[in-house]
Amino acid sequence: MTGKKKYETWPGKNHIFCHGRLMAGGGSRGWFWFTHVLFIIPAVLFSVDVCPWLAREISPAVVVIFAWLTLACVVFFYMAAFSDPGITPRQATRPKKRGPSILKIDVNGVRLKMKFCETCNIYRPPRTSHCSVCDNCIDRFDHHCPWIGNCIGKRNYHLFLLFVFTITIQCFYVLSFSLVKIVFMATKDGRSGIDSFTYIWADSPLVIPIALFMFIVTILVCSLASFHLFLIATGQTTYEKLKKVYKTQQNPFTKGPLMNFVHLLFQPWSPAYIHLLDEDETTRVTTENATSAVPVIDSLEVIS
Amino acid sequence: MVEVVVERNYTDGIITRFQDAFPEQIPDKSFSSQWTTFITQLNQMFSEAETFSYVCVLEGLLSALTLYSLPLFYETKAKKKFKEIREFLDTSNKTIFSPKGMELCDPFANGLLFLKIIVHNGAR
Repeated sequence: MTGKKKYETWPGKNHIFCHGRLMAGGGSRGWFWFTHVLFIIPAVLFSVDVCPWLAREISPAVVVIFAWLTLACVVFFYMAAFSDPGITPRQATRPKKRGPSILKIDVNGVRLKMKFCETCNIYRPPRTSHCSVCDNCIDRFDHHCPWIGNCIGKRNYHLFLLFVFTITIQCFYVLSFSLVKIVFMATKDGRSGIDSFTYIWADSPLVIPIALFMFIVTILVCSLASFHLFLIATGQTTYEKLKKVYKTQQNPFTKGPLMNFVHLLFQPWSPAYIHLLDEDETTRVTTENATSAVPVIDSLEVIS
Repeated sequence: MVEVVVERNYTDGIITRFQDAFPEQIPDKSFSSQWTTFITQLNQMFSEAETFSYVCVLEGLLSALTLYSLPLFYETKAKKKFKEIREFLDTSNKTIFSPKGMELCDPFANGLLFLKIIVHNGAR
């Protein structure tokens, strides 16, 4: 008799879907769906209102590029949302009964501390942190992203970066072409001033709210992208920046801004340590305890 | 039964590298030379799997441009190397450790934090 699969006995707070085939982070799923709303509404409105006009007035190629960018955003978003960020498996027991709570090691000449994680029963390697939302220790922990509904760590940071950069480009693209349509319509047939506005409002009212909305969203995603470019240049993770780890201490992990960028975006594949579809050996039923689960009929009283 | 734990060596950074000193708890001291060969090769294989090269950049770039449909058909170099590492650990367990009454546990199961070797009773 086989016991349960690992996804059925998963100790963390992750949300697991499709019988162990998809794993997202913990916490509320509301923000994840809100990101869909924020993305779909302007994309649909832009497709309906501006794209046909762009295909006619400028070129169908403009619409094709928009479609490709939108698809890329969606793909990178879902890959970041359901990828394993680098979860370190929990150990069943403490390595030593009365071991120290902190181990000191030297990395590239810099003294670092490895703290003991009470939940996972491991000494956390450098740059590994415990996410309280997902209740796991994540390798090269960056941050827990509620918009994506997952932690960002070593294995999916490049997917997160691709998503952020692609959506920044896409937002600029949508904003630019919305403005192109507005300017074109505003100056058509020599119009100006209030005539322009009334013409646009009568002929294509959606383009103005699209442009306003995209203006705000572009500023927000641009700030996030810039923040991450800064983190990459200084070789830090979001967590290390927030905890001000390298304010007083030298950073032993940075290789210079360009090399950091290249290493992070094009890092080689690393294996996941979690296999949810594997059997959880601790739940395996052996032949010995199998017989004890069967009721012993002889001991039942015969009721006549 | 004795559990021998070989920790990671972080002196050169967070690249995967295990301490190469011969574990003192292993009773069979003649095992030392086989251990050195094993651990040197293992560290070398991890170094090759995690190495950053032009191939990595090209694979990464193509994967991103094809929206990650490329990895469905093509096994990246790093993935191949990690497969070789698993096979090497399996082979070493069967040919080096088992004949001496020891068992090498899978380090991937513990997130490559340490190498655990179980020395069974009566191993000499």
